[in-house]
Amino acid sequence: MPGLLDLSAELMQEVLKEVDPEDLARLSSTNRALHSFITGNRLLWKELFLKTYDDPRARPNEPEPDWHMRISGHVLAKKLLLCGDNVWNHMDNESFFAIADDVQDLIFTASTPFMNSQNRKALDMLFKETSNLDTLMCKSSLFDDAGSETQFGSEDSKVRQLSAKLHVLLGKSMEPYPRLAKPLHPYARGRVYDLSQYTKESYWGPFKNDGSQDVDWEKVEAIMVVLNFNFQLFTERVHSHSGSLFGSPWDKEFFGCAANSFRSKPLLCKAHEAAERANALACPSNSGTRMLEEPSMDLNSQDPYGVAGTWMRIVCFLDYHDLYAYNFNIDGTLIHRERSPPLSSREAIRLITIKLRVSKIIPPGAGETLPTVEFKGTSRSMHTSFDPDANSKIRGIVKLTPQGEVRWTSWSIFHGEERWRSEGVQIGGLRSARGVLGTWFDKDYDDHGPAGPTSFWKISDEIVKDSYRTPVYPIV
Amino acid sequence: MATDTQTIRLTTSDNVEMTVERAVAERSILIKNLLEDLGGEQTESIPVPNVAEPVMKKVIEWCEHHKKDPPTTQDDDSDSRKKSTDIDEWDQKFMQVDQEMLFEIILAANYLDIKALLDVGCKTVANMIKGKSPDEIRKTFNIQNDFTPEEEDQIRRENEWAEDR
Repeated sequence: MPGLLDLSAELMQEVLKEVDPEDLARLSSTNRALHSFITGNRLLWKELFLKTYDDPRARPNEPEPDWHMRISGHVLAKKLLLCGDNVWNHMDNESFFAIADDVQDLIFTASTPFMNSQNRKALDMLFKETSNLDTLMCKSSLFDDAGSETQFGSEDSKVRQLSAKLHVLLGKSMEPYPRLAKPLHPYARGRVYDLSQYTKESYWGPFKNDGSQDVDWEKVEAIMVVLNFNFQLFTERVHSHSGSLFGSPWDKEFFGCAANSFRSKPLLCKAHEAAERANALACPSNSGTRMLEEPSMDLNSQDPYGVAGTWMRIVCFLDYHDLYAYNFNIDGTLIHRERSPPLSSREAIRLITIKLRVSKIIPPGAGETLPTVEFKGTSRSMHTSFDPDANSKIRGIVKLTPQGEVRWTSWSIFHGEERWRSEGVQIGGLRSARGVLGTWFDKDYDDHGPAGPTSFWKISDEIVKDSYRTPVYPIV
Repeated sequence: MATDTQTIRLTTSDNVEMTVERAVAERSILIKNLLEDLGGEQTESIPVPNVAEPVMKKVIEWCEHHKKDPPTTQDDDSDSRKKSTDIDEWDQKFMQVDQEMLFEIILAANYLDIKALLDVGCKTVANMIKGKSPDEIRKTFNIQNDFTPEEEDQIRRENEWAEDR
């Protein structure tokens, strides 16, 4: 009489494809024949992996990962997170690191479009229980001061950094319910506008104060929390009289953090295109009436960062009196504090569209894997055309840090003179949809400021010619 | 209408002749291809040397119930299968048979090339494994534990990731 062990290898494979990974592991520990059939059965583990998760390879012809190991990592993280013992944020550091690594892996290898990603579903499942968000995303020092009673910072600096990074990858701020706890944004704002944090060693950007260019994720987290708060206030105000015009790439949890997750959107609506076509028909030789620029294919093809195109930027700033009062003693000396106190002043926000074009490719130097790309462009305020600070030229460079993060440095040029500089890091790496978080400040690093948070993210590979106005584009 | 009620005859491994509606029998890709190859009216009984009558009866019962299902193509398994981890209610009841019959159905479905029935069979076995400890699995499928204690120890460590916490 036939039994499980009498099945042919082919049929055994068919049956085992339907078995969950955990059950498969237990099945393999019942008997030698099953153990040798299951362990090292690459095709079986691959099939099981791809049933639940996205293929982690960017291209199918890349070498195959160890499917068995990957699946066991994901299952272990899931079990640690869903075992229900994490209530009130109790988790040992070893488990925290294992889960954090695994969650990052799910985020960074999610397929595009993210809506259809299997990893998105896996992440949704892991974080359906909000206590898991508290356990993983709320352990930076920000939560020493702020947050709810289930959110508190870790003593361990590695845990704090990693937790801040996961919070940034999540994208939305873990603001606690107002009546139960201290909101995050005043504490984050204090950090962002604390000028003593802007040091030469950190390049005045979201980097550690040690000259290493290593990203300080607690700084990035504070920048994100402040920008989220301001952007939400802004959209609430705008929506009340003009409907939903803007979205941000942080609206959707874990969205756009995989490398190459950016997808270009057309800038012109159907009416524009029809008008262009009609124009071209009437006068075929007149290409000058086209609204879109011809891209420089030669330079763009050598640019791994995807610089050329149209970007959206947010810049926030504090009234200078507020900034000064927060940072300086009566005698004019800069206050150095152990920890930045909360700051509740309201900020101003500017939305800007930027058109960037690659101007130069510098081949990678010794020890570098990618070229440095120089760019030039223009930025234009979306608020009022007469705001003198938002209409300017821009130049910048983008390159990898020694740790492999994508670092953007840019200068805003007004009437031929450089005025502001900014430093940022691209969340999720090369050509991610999420874009860049960072700081802006005086180009000569003036100790008296000003400085503030900024973010930019790409909308389209296209550029509308300067003689035409870029249409206001709904982002997501 | 004539083709709807057309019947064919099958002879099982234990030499029993069965008359089956052609549309039902054609759930089996093996029989379908055979009939197509033979062409025209099929008057002779088709031998099915690998399947005995009791199993064939079960298989035909399943095919009758699923007569109207859209036909499965050779390579649509990747997506449709991935998404249906559940077995529909009728199939679940249908599969409430002893283990011997279950594996006989799997073997027959494989031989006769009835993909959907093979899937249901495989999923039924998977469900019998689900959530069980190695010992319970051994009992369920009558599997001999032939590991040495040292091997068992090593394998337990290997599979620690799958253990409940």
